[in-house]
Amino acid sequence: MKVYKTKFLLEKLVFAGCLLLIGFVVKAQELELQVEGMATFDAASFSIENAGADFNASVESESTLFVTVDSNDAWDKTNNPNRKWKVEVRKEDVSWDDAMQVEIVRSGNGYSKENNKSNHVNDGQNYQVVSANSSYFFRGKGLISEIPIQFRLSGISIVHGAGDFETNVMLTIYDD
Amino acid sequence: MNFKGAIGLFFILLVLAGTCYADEHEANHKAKVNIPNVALLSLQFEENANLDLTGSAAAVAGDQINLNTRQKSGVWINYSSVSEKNQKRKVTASVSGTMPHGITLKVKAEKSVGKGKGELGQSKGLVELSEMPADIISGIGCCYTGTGTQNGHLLSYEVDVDEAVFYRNSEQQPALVSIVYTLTDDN
Repeated sequence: MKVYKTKFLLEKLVFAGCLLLIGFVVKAQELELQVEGMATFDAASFSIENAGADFNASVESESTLFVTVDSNDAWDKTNNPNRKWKVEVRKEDVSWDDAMQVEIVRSGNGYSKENNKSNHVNDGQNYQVVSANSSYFFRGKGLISEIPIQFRLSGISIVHGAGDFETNVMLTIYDD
Repeated sequence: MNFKGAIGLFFILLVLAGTCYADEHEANHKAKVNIPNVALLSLQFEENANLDLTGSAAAVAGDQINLNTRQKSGVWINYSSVSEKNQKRKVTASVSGTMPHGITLKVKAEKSVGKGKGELGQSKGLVELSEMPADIISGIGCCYTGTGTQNGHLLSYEVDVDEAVFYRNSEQQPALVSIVYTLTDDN
């Protein structure tokens, strides 16, 4: 009777341990998306060639933003190096004029830190409008560093008036 | 469930977790746009920059000198204006140089036409010019008139002659004056 109780408790402990480990594994397999650099549009971007003219139809960001796909799990990095993923993009306006559009493009491929030749990035090489609804941007395989991203503003006009406009561009990585 | 069973279940759930879990992670970046204040004005000419108001001798003794007193100039005002909300701008005109005695020069900016957009300015009608800047267009918000002739405000000039003063003081010397247009804040 005592042996039976001990065995029952052991089984329960193992089962609970399994669940904890599964939770840990699931949590630990997170892909991370890191964003570095700045993409700014300052006053110098908005020049008017002649009195009577409007701003240029579109303005590209002055500098480039770099996106890195990484994993926070060493086991995953070693044993699952060819994990497929996709990135979606959306924006959350802070102070914005609806007539202005933010467009985004992937302007390069980045590189694999592990020098894994099978790692790659696809799509996203044509400018696409970023809206409040999440939409597909690009996809890839494996961990890739410093994928360059460029922004473009269109629909800017003098009639919007002077001031600061701000929006948050959200990039979300999913398992593909 | 025995010990082997528990271990088996562990591995099954482990595999399932690895394959079924939809991982996601989000990163964000602020996109900031600063649209600056802009105030640009230019004059566009259909022919040339000079307006010639030449008096012609009276054909009949006793008639007054004809000074061709009203004419469209073929000069267009173009402007681009970006300002803060509720900030308005205006165009002023002033004369630089000495007008002949008895002669008054007036200017009128017509209503803006062409490819302009936004809160374009309103004409102040026929305005007498002097060395002091006078408003000829007001209420300019954030707007642009379009570039070149046939865009913006066409200017027309009118000359008034105070004959008594003119005949008393005038000499047969050409008088050259410049008219200066300025786009400025309307406080």
